[in-house]
Amino acid sequence: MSAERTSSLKLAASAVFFVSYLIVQVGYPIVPWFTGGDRAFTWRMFAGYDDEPEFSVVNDAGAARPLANALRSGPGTGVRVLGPEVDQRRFFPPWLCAHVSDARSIVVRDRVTPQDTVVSCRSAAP
Amino acid sequence: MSIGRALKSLLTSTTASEPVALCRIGIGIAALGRSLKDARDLYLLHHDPSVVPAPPFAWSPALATLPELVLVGGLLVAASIALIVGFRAQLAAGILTALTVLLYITDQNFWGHHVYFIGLMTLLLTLVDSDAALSVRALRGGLRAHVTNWPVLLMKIQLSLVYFFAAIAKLNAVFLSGYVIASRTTHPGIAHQSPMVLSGLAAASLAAEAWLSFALWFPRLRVAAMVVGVVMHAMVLVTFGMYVGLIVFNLTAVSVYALFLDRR
Repeated sequence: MSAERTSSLKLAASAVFFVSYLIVQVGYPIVPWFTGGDRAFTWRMFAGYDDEPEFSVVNDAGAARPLANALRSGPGTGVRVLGPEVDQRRFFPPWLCAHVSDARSIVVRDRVTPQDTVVSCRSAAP
Repeated sequence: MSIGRALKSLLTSTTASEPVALCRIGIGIAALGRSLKDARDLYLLHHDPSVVPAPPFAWSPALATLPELVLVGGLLVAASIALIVGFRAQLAAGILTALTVLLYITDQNFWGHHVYFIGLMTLLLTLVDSDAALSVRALRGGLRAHVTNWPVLLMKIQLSLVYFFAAIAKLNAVFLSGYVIASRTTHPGIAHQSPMVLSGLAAASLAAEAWLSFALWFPRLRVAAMVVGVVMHAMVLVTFGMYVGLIVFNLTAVSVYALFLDRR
């Protein structure tokens, strides 16, 4: 392949990358303007959209034990995550049901949902 | 001039190599901090029973064996150091970008705005000779005064987009009430401020980000913008705590300021 042809292809590839990059980086962060809420890759950090759900474990006797904020918990505090964008609603109930010996259900509460969500350990078991 | 010609002119233009090298060093230091944390977190994910694993896909790799931990952790740290000293910087940036993607598909515990931001910066550093100055390569005779401009331009645009979208996102009653600062601050002096002061801080941070999204592009405003930006990023650390993710994000952002130092 001639040097001129290689140079043209390189220029075309650079143009495609340049334009595609801008389309993605300008277009995608606009999505939550219409859908609301928090979303990864959209630069909405510290803006009040992350709801930080609170979890309580209900045991066989019906007693509820609230958990500390998992993102701010240190070693040995029971349950924690290492990053701010873990989907706690998705991953916590099955994990708690599997690791807390007498857990019957998990209650999830957050700032934006008016009612508590109760996840039965029968349905959440991994 | 047609759009095609303008694009061709942009894609073939060059920029001074030293500001790019300064930026590379800053991002390399940020990458090293992030790499050490990721290596530690990868270990904790499989050795601390209180950490909740969060693999985003059914097919996510576990990276649980000791050889895998050593390989990923070692590559992260080595590539970060290579970026700092300017030794095969494009390859090092490419390795960091690939490992960022790998960690994203491995577990949501590695997700974060700082990881994404530095991942984008290392992606763009794979496309530019960032080790053409202030580097091992330059010391060995590979010094070049100018490098390809368009990836550098994308890095500058990316920083402006981060500021712009972050400012727009903060245009809501919850943030402007000061609630986010009050609930997330680790500084007792800030936590005990009145709602009016907290609301004022929130409005000031929004205004600073909105202004920075364009002010860095104007030579007359540039010095003031850099001062405001450094103060704002320092205030973020004072307000929300000196943890690795936040330090990495703020150091990466400030490192990109160096790219605005090219006077041409």
